[in-house]
Amino acid sequence: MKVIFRPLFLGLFVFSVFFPFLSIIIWSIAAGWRFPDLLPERYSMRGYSIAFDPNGDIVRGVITSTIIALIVGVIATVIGSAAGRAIAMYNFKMKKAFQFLVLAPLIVPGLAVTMGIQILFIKYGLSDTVRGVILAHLIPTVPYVVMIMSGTFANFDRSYEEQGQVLGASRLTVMRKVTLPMVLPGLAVSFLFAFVISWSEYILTLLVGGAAVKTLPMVLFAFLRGSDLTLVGAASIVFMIPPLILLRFTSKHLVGRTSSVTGLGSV
Amino acid sequence: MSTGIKIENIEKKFSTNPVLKGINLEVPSGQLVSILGSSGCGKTTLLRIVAGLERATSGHVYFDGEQQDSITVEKRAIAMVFQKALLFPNMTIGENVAFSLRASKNPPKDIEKKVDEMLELVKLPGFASRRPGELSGGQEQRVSLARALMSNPKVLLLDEPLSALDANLRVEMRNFIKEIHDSFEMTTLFVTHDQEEAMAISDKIAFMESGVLEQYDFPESFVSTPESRKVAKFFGCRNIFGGKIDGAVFETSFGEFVLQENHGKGELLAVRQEDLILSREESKYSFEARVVSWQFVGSRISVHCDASKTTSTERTEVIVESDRFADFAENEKVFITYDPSRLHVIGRDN
Repeated sequence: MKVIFRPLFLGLFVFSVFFPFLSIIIWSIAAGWRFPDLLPERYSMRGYSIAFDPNGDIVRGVITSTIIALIVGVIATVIGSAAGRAIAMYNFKMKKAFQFLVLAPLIVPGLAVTMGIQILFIKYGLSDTVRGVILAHLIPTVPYVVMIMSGTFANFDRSYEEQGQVLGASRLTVMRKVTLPMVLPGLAVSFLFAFVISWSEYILTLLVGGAAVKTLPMVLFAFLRGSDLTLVGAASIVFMIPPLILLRFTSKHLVGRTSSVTGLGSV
Repeated sequence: MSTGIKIENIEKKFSTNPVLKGINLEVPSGQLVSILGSSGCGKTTLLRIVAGLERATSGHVYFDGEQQDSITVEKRAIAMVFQKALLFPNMTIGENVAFSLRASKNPPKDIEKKVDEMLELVKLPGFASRRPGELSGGQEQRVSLARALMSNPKVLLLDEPLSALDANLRVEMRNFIKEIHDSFEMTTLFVTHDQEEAMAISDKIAFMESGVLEQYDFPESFVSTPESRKVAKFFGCRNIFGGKIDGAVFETSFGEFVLQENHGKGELLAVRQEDLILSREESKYSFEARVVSWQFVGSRISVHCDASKTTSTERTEVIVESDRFADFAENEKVFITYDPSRLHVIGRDN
């Protein structure tokens, strides 16, 4: 019995995970797919030719989203690492309050916060700007980085830094040559998380960026309303690619030897 | 050229808890001095202050008369080896050893040659391309030492570098450290809790207890002339008798000990167990006791005797250690002979 069940379960699992993707892939190359048909009658690359039109909304959305997500990824990783290190390695006054405040955005709905800060954003001219969107995207990303990096730094032995110092290395050299290489897995995973969260953020972008900042999710939503499923399929595929590329380069830090970073263990 | 160290009235408090209570210590250039003490006595804190990793609450550290207080760790002419080897895991052994050279402003051109020479010196030739995880504990610690020596320090600080190693390796490594010290002639501070280790390799020992420097002396002096009860006990003296000096004798509750001239003042008498002899005959310098029990300690035998007078209710235990044991019976009356030249009056009771 076991012999039959295992592949059966595995098959079901794989199917349930990949079926939605499969239908998107088919939709993206279908030229009409009506109800009783199992597969489309005809195929075309119409969706992709629109998606990859250099002057089209999608390509521009990809560029905008990439720039924003890269900047958010870097800033969130820097800020979150500093905070994570402080939480993991130092004792200071009001540490508990600080920890709570840093992690609060994970608990409090971002929407509620954004409604409030929107007024401030308008006041300081950040509304409808890329700068404003980047700032808003830090709200949901920094807490994740703090969580990952406080775990990373909790496993980091500070004596290594002291060892570097007593060998005559300046603080900067110690950071560059000793600390950074040792916490690199945590940094890579942090950047991946921040990038992906920013990349797929919709509500915050909508509220802060309005119609002016057109990230890919904004473009995608506009297409969804238009009900051209071929185009939506192609745009969705485009939407999935950058995070997958990034995952390809950071995945070695998610599993395996250094998997303690995320606690996922080796898969 | 190496550097003399002067530690002047160093005090250190962690919040309100005093860890070092005014330490004064002078280490002449080129010497190897051990800072010895049980855990929590402040010896590591003192070393970290000398290194600049910790700031003293008050007091100063001088290298060759030059005050170091405002000089940061990386600018001090020191190198330090910790209890753990702390080899940087992202570098090869060779890169680890070369760390200080690469971190300096003007890296020399012949780094690889220097690394190879240094690895040769620590008896790990050809290890440059290996990774830290592939080495044994002793090898890692030798790499750590090589890495420290590579920065060409004037002062070498060793913070219990051997305590993570197993017993045989410790003996080998301490001799190795002594060898290295002698060939480089660099001023070395060696923190340890192991008195045997300290006795074996030090020019002088600074013995600390509860944040106080109890005695700073030559190794053999801690055995022959301990200055306080704590020192005597730490260095294994098992017979410390209370009493008082009366002319040329030290009076105790169970008898008198004849002192030599120039004995110190105090109310405690330290008599090392190995300086006493058990016999059935009375002699000029002996007192009466009963055998209570005995125990083998390695190749020697330790005999517990009771020297108290029958009239006294207080028991006075005397321990005699010798390399052979005549067949004394339990409760047998014996005479314990002492050597007046081996008696020592302790000045401080603490």
